[in-house]
Amino acid sequence: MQCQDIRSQLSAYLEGELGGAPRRVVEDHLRECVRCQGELVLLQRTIALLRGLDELEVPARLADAVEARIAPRKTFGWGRLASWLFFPIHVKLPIQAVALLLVSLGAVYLYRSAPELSQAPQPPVATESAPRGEVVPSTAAGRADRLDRPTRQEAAEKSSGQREPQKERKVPEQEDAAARALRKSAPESAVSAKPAEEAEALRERDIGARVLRKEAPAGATIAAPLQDVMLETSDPARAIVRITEIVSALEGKVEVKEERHLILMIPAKAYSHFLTALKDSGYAVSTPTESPAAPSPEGTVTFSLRLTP
Amino acid sequence: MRATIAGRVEGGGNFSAAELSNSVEMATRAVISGGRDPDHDLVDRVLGGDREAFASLLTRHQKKVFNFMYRMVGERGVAEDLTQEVFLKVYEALPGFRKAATFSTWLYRIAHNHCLNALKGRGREIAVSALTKEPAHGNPVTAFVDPSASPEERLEQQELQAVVQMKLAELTPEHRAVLVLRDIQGLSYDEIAVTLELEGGTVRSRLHRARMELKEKLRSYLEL
Repeated sequence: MQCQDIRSQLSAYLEGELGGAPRRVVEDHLRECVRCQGELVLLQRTIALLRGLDELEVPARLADAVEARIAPRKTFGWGRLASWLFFPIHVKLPIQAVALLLVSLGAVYLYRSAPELSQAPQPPVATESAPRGEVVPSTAAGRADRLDRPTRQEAAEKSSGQREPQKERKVPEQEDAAARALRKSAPESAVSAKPAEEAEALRERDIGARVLRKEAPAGATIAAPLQDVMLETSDPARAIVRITEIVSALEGKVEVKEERHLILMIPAKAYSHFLTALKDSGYAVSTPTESPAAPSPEGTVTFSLRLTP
Repeated sequence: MRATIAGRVEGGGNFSAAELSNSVEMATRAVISGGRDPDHDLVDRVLGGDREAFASLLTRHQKKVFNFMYRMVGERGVAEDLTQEVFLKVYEALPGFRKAATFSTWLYRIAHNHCLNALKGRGREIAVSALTKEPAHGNPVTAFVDPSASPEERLEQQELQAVVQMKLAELTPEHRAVLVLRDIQGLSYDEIAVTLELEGGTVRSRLHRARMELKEKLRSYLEL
């Protein structure tokens, strides 16, 4: 074996890692090769010098310095968590306050932008004249929403496909008169009036509803939006006089909003009598429904009457 | 101990390979003895919020980390700074310590990586400082020379220690690290492999090359 091969194993030989034949080969070579013996000695001295380098003593301040630098970092566990959440306070607290404010503003924005969130759920009002099982939303918005979208229960039933046929037939029956009026007013108006007039009529109806709501006695609630009863007449003044007479006889009230627009409040039971009396007086009357809107808890029904040429 | 070794060196290196091997293995066993690493309990206590336990870990291991750093960078002040930084890193990384290895090995790996990063960052400054450092009075190494030696012997020992440190600084950080870990700090091959993230065979071959390189650098001093 060449000297170079032997020297490449000197480190392992000194570590005692060579055993058996490899070790004997190196030792046989070392007995005969003076130069390799010299290299082995130099390597031993090198290792001995390294191992002879004594350890330095650690500066006394080192541990204290480490402790001092760790101290602000607190501890692990809950203390560390609290530190992570709140320290440094002058940075973390303003960030958390701003975050809380943004979340609050977002919640308010969502509440205002989503109608369904701004409507407090109210129990349905059951009335003596309402059809059995009819559910009356408390506001026009709620009613419109109910018409536009099925309830969660309906949606669930539709999705499950287990809805009973009887219930399906009942849905249109449960839509009260005012809701149907809202839905049907567009096509009906399209026949008899221009779109601009229709929009104006809807706006006025809304105004009338708000006026009546404002003027309603304390504790009274408007159970349904106003619906228009249309009465054809070429003499509004006379018609108003007649209408007032009839309403007075029925112990109702008349409020003249405009020359051709009245707000009437009569006992719900007298609604059909009112219509009959108008027809008997020679007026052509058209109503959105056969029955009045859902009456108030006091048993009265409020509706709008428009005098058309 | 130092006087003994110095005498042997001067006397021609009259110690056997088996003696050297046994002493190194004894040092190695001292590091990993016991089966269960007693430091793991301290680690658990630190993670539970016990700051005293970390102080114990620091006390137990600061000396070898400091000496490792000193042999790697050759500057006492720099070694002290790096040691502090290593223990801060250890404290931060402690929740991620999975106890697959001994705490000591894990600590060495952090120290080694931190040292290499520091040498890359300020390597020129450290290397120049170590190479130009005179082996004169005041070198920290001289504080550990055997006081029983004669003045002439002490001077020779001081100078030889300083020369060794200088020649170490001339090696690549990779060669320097394996020499420091094995021949100065006495880690086993397995521990070095874990620390340096190398295969065992690579550790052996690198160690051999590093020793041979240092031997050549010290040849003029060793042949006196």
